[in-house]
Amino acid sequence: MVRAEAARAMNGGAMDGLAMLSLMERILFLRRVPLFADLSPADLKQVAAIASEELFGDGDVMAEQGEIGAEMFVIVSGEVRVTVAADGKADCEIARRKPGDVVGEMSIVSHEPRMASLTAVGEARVLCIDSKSFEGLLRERPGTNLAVMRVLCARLKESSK
Amino acid sequence: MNPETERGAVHTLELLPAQAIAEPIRQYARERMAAALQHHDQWREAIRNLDAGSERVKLLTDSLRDRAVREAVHVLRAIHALSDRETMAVALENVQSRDANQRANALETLESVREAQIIRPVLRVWEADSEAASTRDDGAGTRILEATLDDGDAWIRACAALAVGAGDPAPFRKKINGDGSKRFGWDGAR
Repeated sequence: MVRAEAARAMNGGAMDGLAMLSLMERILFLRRVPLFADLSPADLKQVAAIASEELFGDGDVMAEQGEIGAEMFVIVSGEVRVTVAADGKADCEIARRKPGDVVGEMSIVSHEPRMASLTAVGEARVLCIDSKSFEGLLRERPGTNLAVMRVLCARLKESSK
Repeated sequence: MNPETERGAVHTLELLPAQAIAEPIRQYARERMAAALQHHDQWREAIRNLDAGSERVKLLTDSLRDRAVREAVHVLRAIHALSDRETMAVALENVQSRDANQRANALETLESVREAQIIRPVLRVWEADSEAASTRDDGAGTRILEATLDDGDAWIRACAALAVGAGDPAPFRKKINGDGSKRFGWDGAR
C-alpha cells in the first residue's frame, strides 16, 4: 500500500499520501516544495538525507509557543494548525498549513522562542530538519536564503492582515 | 575524486602562482571539459527524446545539466589560474547569473581571454539550446538511458535507474541488477 501511494504521488498526484519515503522519493517530493525549488538535485539529495520523517496523530502538538525551536517541518501529508495564545486567552488559529508548506522555520532562523504552536490536524506526516543542519544549508546554498526570505515575507504579509 | 574535495582544490588553485604547472592545469581542464560536454550532450538528447512530463525524467535531465555546469565551472576555475585573473573572476561570477544579459556579457568576455582556445568549446554549456524542440526519437531515448545507466557518477546512475522506472523497464533490467547506485534509484522508482 505504501509503495502504491508513493507511486501514485510520483505519477503526478498530490503531495499527500507519501509514506516511509525512500531517499529518491523524498528528493522528488522536496523538488515540489518552493523553499527548496532553487536547489540542484545534488543539493536536494543532501537535504533529503538530513531530514527525518515523523508522523503525528490528530491533535498532537508538534511545537509549542514559547519554546526554543530546534527544528523546522516540511508537511508531506495532512494539515497543521498554527495557533497563538495571548493574555491568558484560549488558542486562536492564525493559519492552517498544507502539504508542501514549511512550518517552524522562523524560530530556528531568529533563535527566538516560537511565536506560535503547531498542532496536527488528522494524521500529519512531516520531514523534520534540525536547526544546525538548516543553518548549514543556508550558509552553503545562498539560493535557499532567498527562498527563506520569500517565506518570511509571506508570513509577515499574513500577520499584517 | 570526491566532488567537494575537487571543488576545494580548484578554488585553491586560483590562489596559487600557477604558471609553473600550466601544462598539468591545461590537461586537467581538457579532461573536465570532456566530462562537461558529455553531460551537456546527454542532457540535450534527454530533453529531446525522453518523456518531459515525467518528474523522474526531469530529475535525470536536471542532474545531467547540473553536472555539465559543475564540470564547466571547474574548467573555467582551472584556466582562471593561467589567465587574466580579475577579468576571469568577474566572468566566472556572471556566467552563473540568472540574468541572461549578464551571462551573455560573461560569454563574450570569456571568448577573448588568454587561453580562450581551451575554454571556448565548453562555453556552449551556457548557450541557449535552440534545437530542443526537434523531433523525438525513441531509439535515442533508449540509448541515452543506457548511457546514463553506465555513467561514472553514481548519482547520475541512480537518477537514470529512477527514470527507467517511468517507462518500460524490461530492456534495462539486466543493467540495473548488481549495481548499488542503480538499485538505489530503482528502488525509489518502484
